[in-house]
Amino acid sequence: MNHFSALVRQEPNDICIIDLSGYLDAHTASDLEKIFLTAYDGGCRRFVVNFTDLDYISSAGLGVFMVFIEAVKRENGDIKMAAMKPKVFTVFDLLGFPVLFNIHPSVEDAVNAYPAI
Amino acid sequence: MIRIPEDRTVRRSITTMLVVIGVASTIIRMVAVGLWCVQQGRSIDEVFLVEASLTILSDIAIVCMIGIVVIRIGRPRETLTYEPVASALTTYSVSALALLVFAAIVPDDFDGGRITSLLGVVTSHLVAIGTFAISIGLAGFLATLLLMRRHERTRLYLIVQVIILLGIWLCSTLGSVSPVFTIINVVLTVFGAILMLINTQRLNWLATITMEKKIRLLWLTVCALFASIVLSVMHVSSVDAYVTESAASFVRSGAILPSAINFFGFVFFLRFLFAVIAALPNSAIVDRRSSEVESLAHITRLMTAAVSVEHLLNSTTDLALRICRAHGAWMEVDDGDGMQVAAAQLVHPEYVRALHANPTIHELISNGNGPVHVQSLSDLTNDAGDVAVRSMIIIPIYSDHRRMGTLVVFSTVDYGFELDDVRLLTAFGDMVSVALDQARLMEAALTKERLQKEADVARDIQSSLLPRSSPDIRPFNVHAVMIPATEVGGDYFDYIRFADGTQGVIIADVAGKGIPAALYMATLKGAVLAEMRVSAGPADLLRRVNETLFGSMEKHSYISLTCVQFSIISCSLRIARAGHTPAICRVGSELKIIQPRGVAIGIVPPRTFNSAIEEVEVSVGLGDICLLTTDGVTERRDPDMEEIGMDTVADMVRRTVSLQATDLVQETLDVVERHARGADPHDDITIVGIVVSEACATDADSDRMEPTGIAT
Repeated sequence: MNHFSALVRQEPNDICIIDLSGYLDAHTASDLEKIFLTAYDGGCRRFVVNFTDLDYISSAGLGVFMVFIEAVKRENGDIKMAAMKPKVFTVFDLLGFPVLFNIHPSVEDAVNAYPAI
Repeated sequence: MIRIPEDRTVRRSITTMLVVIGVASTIIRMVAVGLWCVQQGRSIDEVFLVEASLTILSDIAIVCMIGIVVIRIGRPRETLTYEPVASALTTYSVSALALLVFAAIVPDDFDGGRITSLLGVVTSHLVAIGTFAISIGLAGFLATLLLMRRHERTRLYLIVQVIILLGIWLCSTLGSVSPVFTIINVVLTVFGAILMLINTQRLNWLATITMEKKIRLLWLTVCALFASIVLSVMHVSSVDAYVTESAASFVRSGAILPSAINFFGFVFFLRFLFAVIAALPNSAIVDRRSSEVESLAHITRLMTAAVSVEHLLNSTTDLALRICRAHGAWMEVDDGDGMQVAAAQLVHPEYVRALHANPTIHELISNGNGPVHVQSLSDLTNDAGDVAVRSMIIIPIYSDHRRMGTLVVFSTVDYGFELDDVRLLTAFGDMVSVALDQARLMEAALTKERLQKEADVARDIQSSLLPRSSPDIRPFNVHAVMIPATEVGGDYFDYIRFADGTQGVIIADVAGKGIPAALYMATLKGAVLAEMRVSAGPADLLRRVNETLFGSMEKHSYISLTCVQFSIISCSLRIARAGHTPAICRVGSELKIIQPRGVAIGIVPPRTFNSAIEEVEVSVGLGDICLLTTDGVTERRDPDMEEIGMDTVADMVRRTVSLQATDLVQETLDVVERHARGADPHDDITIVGIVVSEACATDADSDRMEPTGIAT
């Protein structure tokens, strides 16, 4: 079975970084959704998703971000993506996700893209 | 040996015949006796011929009675237990007592063996017939009962007994000749009685019937005992008794026969009575055992009848409560979030929770490895004083080697249970374990079946949505296939017609699988069919479709879609893309990856979507081709999970010499499957092949228009 993990880090400036690794597909998407929901319920609105170690994303995996983006943006938050591998980026790009999500080359860029509170 | 006919109707007609003959001979005898005794005023034994004729008539009647009894109860039955025995005893006692009462109230019209009135003739015959009928019936019943529970000598003894009976009769007849015969008679009677005692064996079935039935049988036996002794003694001791006189006038010295039979009956009933009394003390054990067996059988039946686990647990706790005479019983089952009370009898789940608050009790209930028998709770803990529970049995229940639950029965008195109870409840626990295992497997099977059914439904929806044939769009030659994965993916293609009448094709991939994906597909088809009639072109159509579907879709779902419009006049393809896999085209000798900007449907609101979408026009000529696919094609994996990738497919498009769309599609499939090397497809595969198979009308006189906005 393909391994997947997602861990939430609390950073200054109210930013939550979610580190993804492995395969994000229909089987593991619900894990990510739970983690997102926990962080969201915990008050997180400024997300940075770290794709550095994510090898694969399927349509179901993409769906997870769509579930939260609207609610987060409504409360002046955002979900910023960072450090995608080319193949993962292609999937995002083909679907036109860059219209909806800000995609940054590195986690640092993504974090800095949030204005200071 | 005479065989009793198997056929019921034959038996019935023989019985009827015997009844008719018996009644007829009795009536004839009554008439004859009336004429001879009442009218002529003479005694029966005055003339030998008269007496002989009358005896023949009564013998016929008696033989008929014997025949009826043999046919009625001579049929071998499978079992002869409580019910038939009790009903026979009742019939015997009631009819015997009724006969005695009847004989007591009718006037005695005998005058030294001579009947003096016509009424006397009738009543004496009735009484005699009754006496013989009851006695012969009793003999039949005894014979059947003994034969049913026979041992090797039963039949022999019975035959001897019949011979003794005849001997007694003979001696009684000859009693007036010599007193020796009277002595022989007594000896024979005693011998017959002893034989009866010896023959009456195998009464241990009495032990297995319940207490209630034993008591009832006891009373019935006492009644029968009384009836038999009265009938027996009356015939011997009182010569003047009406019963005796009637019988004697019916058959010479005939009274001795009913007397002897009833005496043997008396002996039997006495023996039977002692057997019943002897069987009384073990009734409690028998009751207990039989209810144990019944309850286990009941649980087994419930298990095979596929009732819900809840029902089974309720029945089990209820049976446990009743059989162990407990004051409360409950069953805890682990539902994933810890132990929950799944069934409770005479105890509220809240009370069970309160009991768990006591650490000693909680420990006992939750952590025992095997059955626990708490004889007295106060022996174990001092702080259980406020708890009504005094003794309990705790049976852990395992399923699939995992502790799945606990069966608990408790009593409010110390030492409320026996070791037997523990044994029985352990058996209950085993049954419940099996039932839980069964339920688990059943649920897994049902889930699998449901998923399979769901997949079938989804596949049906999907295939019913797809067009069956390709339209004629010359000079364009178009062909499309969709090959479903094991699990329905959500691929879709369709041929459309825009507002201006031009034709087009769409290819789409609904994110998600199964029925939800199939339903979105259906929704998409509806939206496309509705909007295409008013759409100017591909981008316009996609805008409208997004407008229709955005907001009505679930947040995590979206549809990627590419729409191609065939322009015959300008000999071009107009292509718009909503997040879909790019189109791969070969125009002239140039390979183009056509990827106009556009977001998948259902992701962003119309404003964003509309500003993002772009439409490109690709001018084409004879021999040019375009291939539209879903990601099931480009992401087709080999057994090592390696994807085929866009490049391999593009390479194939560059090299192909296919001139027909069907060939192009087939070639694409071949390339993809060659890569997959037999691996199961994890997603639907959809391919739309477009080939310009004829020269365009405008081909000769116009330069190719350069496509706009192409990303390579």
